[in-house]
Amino acid sequence: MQQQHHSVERDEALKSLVYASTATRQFSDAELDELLRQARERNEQLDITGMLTFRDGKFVQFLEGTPEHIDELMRSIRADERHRDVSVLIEEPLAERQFTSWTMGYERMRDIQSAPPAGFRDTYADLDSHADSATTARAARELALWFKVRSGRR
Amino acid sequence: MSGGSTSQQGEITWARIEDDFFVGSRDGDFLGFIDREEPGAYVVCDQFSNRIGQFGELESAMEALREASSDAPSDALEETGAL
Repeated sequence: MQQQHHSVERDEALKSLVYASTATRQFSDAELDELLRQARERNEQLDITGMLTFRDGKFVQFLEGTPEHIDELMRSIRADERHRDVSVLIEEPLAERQFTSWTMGYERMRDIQSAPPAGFRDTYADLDSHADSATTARAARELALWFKVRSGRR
Repeated sequence: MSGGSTSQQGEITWARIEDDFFVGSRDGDFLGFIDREEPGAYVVCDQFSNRIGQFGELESAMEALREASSDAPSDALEETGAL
């Protein structure tokens, strides 16, 4: 199930982690659906919330949960043959969950058709460039905003 | 691809997430976003997703968001509504 509601946050430390990875092969829609189904089932068991984007063969995933559960999940992801080049972009304490309604929200990103307008940064490129922490944090927040706007309009 | 403006003091950083979705921020705080709902229809929303208006050109939409952010109380810009 994609949506769930954490109406009461238990009194325990939380961690936020954002990682990027590259798919080891092309994913059909059915395979992506299966990956999401597995992720939601596992995240529900671990009380992890978050969201996933996939574009041009690259994943960016936001995870929220207890440090123990996040670390357990990351070990699993690093061992998952569907991912390679797993790179943690952001890892920090979290006061309050931002994706309370999603065990693993997903919005399909359309292929980019053109270069950004003059003067615009490319959020995905910024996430992929392993730039300084401020740039990475800003790009991650932009992606999260995009997800919330898109998911709120369905 | 990512060689656009960088965030200096008071300067707006503009970013493109998809071909039709743009975000403006200043010093790490979201000002809002621009969503091109169809060709020639750029909808501008503030950082709380409140609609500011619709414009026919991206440049006009950017200016509207810039003006709206300069009118907003500074403490309101600290709450992004995103991460």
